Amino acid sequence: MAVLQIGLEFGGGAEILVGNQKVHEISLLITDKLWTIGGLLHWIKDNILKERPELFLQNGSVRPGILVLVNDADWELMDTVNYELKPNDRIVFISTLHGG
Amino acid sequence: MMCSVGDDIFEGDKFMPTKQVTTSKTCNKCKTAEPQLVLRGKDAYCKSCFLEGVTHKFKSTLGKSKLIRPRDRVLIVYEDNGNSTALLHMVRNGLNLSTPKKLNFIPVVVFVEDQYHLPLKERHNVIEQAKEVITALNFDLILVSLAQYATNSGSIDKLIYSEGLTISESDKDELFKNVQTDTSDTNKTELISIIKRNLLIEVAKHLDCKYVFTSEISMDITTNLLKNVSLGRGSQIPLESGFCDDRDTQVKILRPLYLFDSKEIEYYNKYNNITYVHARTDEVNTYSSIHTLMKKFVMDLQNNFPSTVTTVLKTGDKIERVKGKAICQLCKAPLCDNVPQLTSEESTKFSSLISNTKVDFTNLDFVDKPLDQTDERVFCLSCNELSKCLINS
Repeated sequence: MAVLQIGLEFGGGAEILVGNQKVHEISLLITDKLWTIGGLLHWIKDNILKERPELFLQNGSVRPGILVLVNDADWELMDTVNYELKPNDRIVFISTLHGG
Repeated sequence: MMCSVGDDIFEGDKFMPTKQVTTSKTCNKCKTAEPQLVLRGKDAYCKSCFLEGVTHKFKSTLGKSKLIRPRDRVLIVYEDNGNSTALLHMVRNGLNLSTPKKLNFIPVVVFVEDQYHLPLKERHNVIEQAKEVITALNFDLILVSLAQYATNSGSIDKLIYSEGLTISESDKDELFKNVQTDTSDTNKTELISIIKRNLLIEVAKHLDCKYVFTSEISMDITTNLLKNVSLGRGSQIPLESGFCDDRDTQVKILRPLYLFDSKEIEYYNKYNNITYVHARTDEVNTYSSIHTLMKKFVMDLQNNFPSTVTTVLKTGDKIERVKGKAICQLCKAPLCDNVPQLTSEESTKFSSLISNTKVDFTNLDFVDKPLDQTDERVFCLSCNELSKCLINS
């Protein structure tokens, strides 16, 4: 079956939500639907998010205050959740919500 | 029904600005390179222009103040977050320059151990990781325990460690042993920040440092400003929320990152491959203290209306300093006395006097009596309340 290989990185405390593991190399099954970051966020929620999903996802996007980088560039330049994933993309999530 | 009040309740929505997707194809600054990130929700920059901008902002913040002279000693406070790691990195880069723009002071880094929400093992890890980050950047490091400082009245030099700081499970209880058990989280947080501030000033004096660098960014400063207003510390805003806290005559606390936002800091760290300690934060109820509530409020502002955070910050910058000879014994801020206009502090006291005194209407002499002349004031308005949580020992 065809798969889409991408790399995920979590930082700034966001790694705590995904089992304290900073780097995740993942394979997404290719179906007739294109993989967008929006779809990836759901995949993360269903597969690797270990605790308190509300600290990562809100209203179908990431929680405000979490930065998303696609291959080192800001996802705001790439239509955010609608960005279509390409093979070997590196998606980085950095939480800026420190402290309490 | 004829009445149409309320029908237009959602009309306003169409006037609300919607978030625009930035579509610029080139960097805002160099106009040639492909942009890599968007700041303030609209300005796109390429990586090199962004990093240049960050360095410039840092240097000009320090430079404009015209405070630091060559060979001055500076105490830099390291905390387990990205902000202070970025600060150390910026300082190191500035010191290593060989151009005339080189920074010329002598740095010492201090790590204050106060991670009382973590289990002992994790606290040890945080210290070890802090050591790694700081020595990798080639700084001298000293360690101090907040609890030891708060409970020892002796000389500070016995509390400064470069190796082998002893920490224990009972540190938190020790820290609060002179505090009433029913003290609110708001007051506890206030006390901790006052103790920490006094600690930094004492350590700086001991190490012969004229300046202390802390790593608050714009969001922290704005949160602090609004918190100070809510706690009756309005007169202290210029000290607590500006670039420079000069309430101590010998040591000034400077906040070189006060114009940065969290996105700039995180991208700076990312693009410089900076890894840092990130301890688990306390899972706190947002409504447990004024501090956490303000933090949430400002964070929401930062995400939805980022320029408002800067507006609050800049407004705080314009507030005039209070000049008074007497200082509060707890927070060391000058007490506002001899101000020509009636302050809200006096109004509060007057109102409390009126409500608590049985008024003899045949004798209204007390109205003419100046307030608060009974004894010398020891605390500022806010610390006066705070002092009630302390068990006198």
